Amino acid sequence: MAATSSSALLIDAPLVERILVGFLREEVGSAGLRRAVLGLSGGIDSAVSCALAARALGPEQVLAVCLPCRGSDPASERDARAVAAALGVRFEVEDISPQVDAWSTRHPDADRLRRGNKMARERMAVLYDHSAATSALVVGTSNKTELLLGYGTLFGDMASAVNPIGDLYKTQVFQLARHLSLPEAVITKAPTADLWSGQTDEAEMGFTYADVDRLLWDLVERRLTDAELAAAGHAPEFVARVRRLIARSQFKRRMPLIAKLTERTINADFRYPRDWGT
Amino acid sequence: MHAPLNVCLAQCDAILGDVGRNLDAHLALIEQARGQGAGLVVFPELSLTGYHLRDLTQEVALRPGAPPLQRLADASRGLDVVAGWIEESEEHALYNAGGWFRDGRLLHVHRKVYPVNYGMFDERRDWAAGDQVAAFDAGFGRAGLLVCEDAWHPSTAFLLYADRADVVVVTSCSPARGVQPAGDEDLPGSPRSARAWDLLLRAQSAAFNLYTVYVNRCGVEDGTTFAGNSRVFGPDGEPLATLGLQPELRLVTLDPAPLRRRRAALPILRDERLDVTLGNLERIARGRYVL
Repeated sequence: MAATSSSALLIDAPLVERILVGFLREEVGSAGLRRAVLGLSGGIDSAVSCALAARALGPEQVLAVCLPCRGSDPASERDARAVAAALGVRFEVEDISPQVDAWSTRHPDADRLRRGNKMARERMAVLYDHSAATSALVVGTSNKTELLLGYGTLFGDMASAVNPIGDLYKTQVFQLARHLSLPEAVITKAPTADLWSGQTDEAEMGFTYADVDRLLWDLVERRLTDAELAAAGHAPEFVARVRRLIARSQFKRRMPLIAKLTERTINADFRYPRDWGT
Repeated sequence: MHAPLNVCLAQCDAILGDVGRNLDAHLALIEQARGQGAGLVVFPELSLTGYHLRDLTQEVALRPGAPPLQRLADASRGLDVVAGWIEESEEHALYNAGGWFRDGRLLHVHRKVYPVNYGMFDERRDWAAGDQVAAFDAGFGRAGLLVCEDAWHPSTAFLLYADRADVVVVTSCSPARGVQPAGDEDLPGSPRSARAWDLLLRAQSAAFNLYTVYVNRCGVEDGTTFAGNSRVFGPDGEPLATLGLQPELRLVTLDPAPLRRRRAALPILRDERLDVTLGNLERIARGRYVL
């Protein structure tokens, strides 16, 4: 089995842009809406989603909300502002520290994980409130790498109505960002959830996006066996760890389980398309 | 084939589950095609209903002679029409049907023989499978109709070839999948799924020496982008029309002369040994199945 080179992850960026812009335009329209709202973190994923939404709907129809919290790197807001300015979308900053602080006083012992989840869910709550207030659909910003690894907060940053980049691996998001001519600072900085000072995704996960994307390509897209993965140059312990991460986070990628009682249970044998009645 | 055919490829979107609005869109496009001088207008698979129907399947199903089908038949005077819908049989089985309307009536119905159940597809859950593949006379010569996955089974194109089809019409709702950059030999700006269709139909046209008219849907439904990229191939496999991702009406003339020349140069249809094929198929089938 030949080793997988990163060229397997190359995308036809103009084609991807056309598909994703059409996706956003038609699915927002299918919901009976014309506007979109999304959280703009200053990172590359939300910048790409924002650029696609601006092209699909027109920049004046897109509200980008920067949602910093006490301890967020000021560079994040600066970069988010630069992205919004470059795209011409509406931009607001809404500090979520008051909500998070109110919770912190009741749970001073909460660890980083709980604190990160809390912040992600507060951001989700703000975005969905904007959605109702302005008749705008919430656009998702989770890429395929983090969705597969479960590197996100259920009902937090993973929550959205439509997600244009959920079938793009992180290294492919970078390619699309370059094609979309996003500000260089957003493309070159280390990806971070910005939950605490100095945090980076790759340091926290213990592997690089380049490595894990090559593995995910072979594992998910090519469906290679463990023996084939080893022959392709992926360390068996790395393969085992990533397989575990994927399987253990499957619940995050599905709707809640509904206990079956009737003969037409929602989503089991009551199965209608999402675009039903639009 | 004894007369030229001006075929209009109606590469279009559909509104999921709304037969009435889709029918209105059909009638408007038929009139546009008529204005362009078309003798045949071809809509994609399930053009009257949309694709991701699931439990809507039985709600949008049409019995033979249902008013929307009669409206299409009425519109087919002076201009043949191919469209797609869910057909409900006398036994209440639901088929993915493609129909050819001509001179005010439904001339031919093809029920999709191979509903797909792998990868992203779950068609057998909702649709019965048809069991007939037949060519028919359609004014200009003989035509055959296939729906999407049918064309990936070489037996269907072979049967239409053996049944002396001059033009095979393939309708589909093929999603855009695979976004790797095209190689030097590939079609630039097309998803891999469209390149696969191109390769298949180009080869079949050349192998069976007939025209292929491929009309795929475009637009987005339930997150899926349909790939468009409708095509016409000549009897030597050369592309005569190549559409992109967007909605488009495209008129192409299919001329009898190249078909005649091709079949004179390569008389494989003349020399075809159906008795040999049939005998060997029976031998193979008896070995594999209880008959």
